[in-house]
Amino acid sequence: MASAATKHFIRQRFTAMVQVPLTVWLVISVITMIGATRVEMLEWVSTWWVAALLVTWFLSVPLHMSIGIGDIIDDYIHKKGSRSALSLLNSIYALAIGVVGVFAVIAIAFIA
Amino acid sequence: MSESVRQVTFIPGENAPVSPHLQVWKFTWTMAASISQRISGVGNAIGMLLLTAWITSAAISESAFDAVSGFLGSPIGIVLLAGFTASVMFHMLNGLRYLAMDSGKVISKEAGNVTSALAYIGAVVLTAAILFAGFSFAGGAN
Repeated sequence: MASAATKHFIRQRFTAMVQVPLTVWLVISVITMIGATRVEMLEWVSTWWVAALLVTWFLSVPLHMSIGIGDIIDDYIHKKGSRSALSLLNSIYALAIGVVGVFAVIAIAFIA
Repeated sequence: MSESVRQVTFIPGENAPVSPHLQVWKFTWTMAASISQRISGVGNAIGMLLLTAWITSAAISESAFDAVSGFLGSPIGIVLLAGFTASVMFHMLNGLRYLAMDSGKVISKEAGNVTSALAYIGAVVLTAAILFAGFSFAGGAN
């Protein structure tokens, strides 16, 4: 258990550093995609390097947000029952975002 | 020797150090930035629903994509996207502060207050620039 905090610390910083350049890229890309048709959207997502960066995003972000929200839950929710329940919901939410996001990108990249 | 390597298990709610109480702090920029980092972090996690829905709807069908794009382009959608943008920009800029602090830089009280305030200013400026670019692009594309 004692190494869990260090693992979280390192993962939180690692994902943060990955996400800084990805966020800059994604914001600029999304601006250029405003008003795009579905065909243009599918074309963009299925570009190999866009798909790779989006998959990286959907792997990194859920990890980062589950660690961060987990810290908030541990800090402010003192009742054991509510804390475990919220931690479980937190994990499920992060997993859902990650799985759906990665699956959608891969589906578009290989099918569209 | 043995004393220095003793491991302590922290149990939240029992013996773990707790976060500062949210209502009994004197205002400082660093404290505001710390609390804002957590609030914007939760906001970003909720905002991920918008991004994930947008990409997933394109994978599903034409009508799903139109529904999500229509919602994001509606007044409520634009307000949500603006909030998401501001939240991400602040979280990113303030997060860079924390990364710098982890490598031993800007850890003085003065530097902390200056860079925290800069994170807020930077977030406002970047959000305004992004919204401006977004509206110009949307206007120009039609």
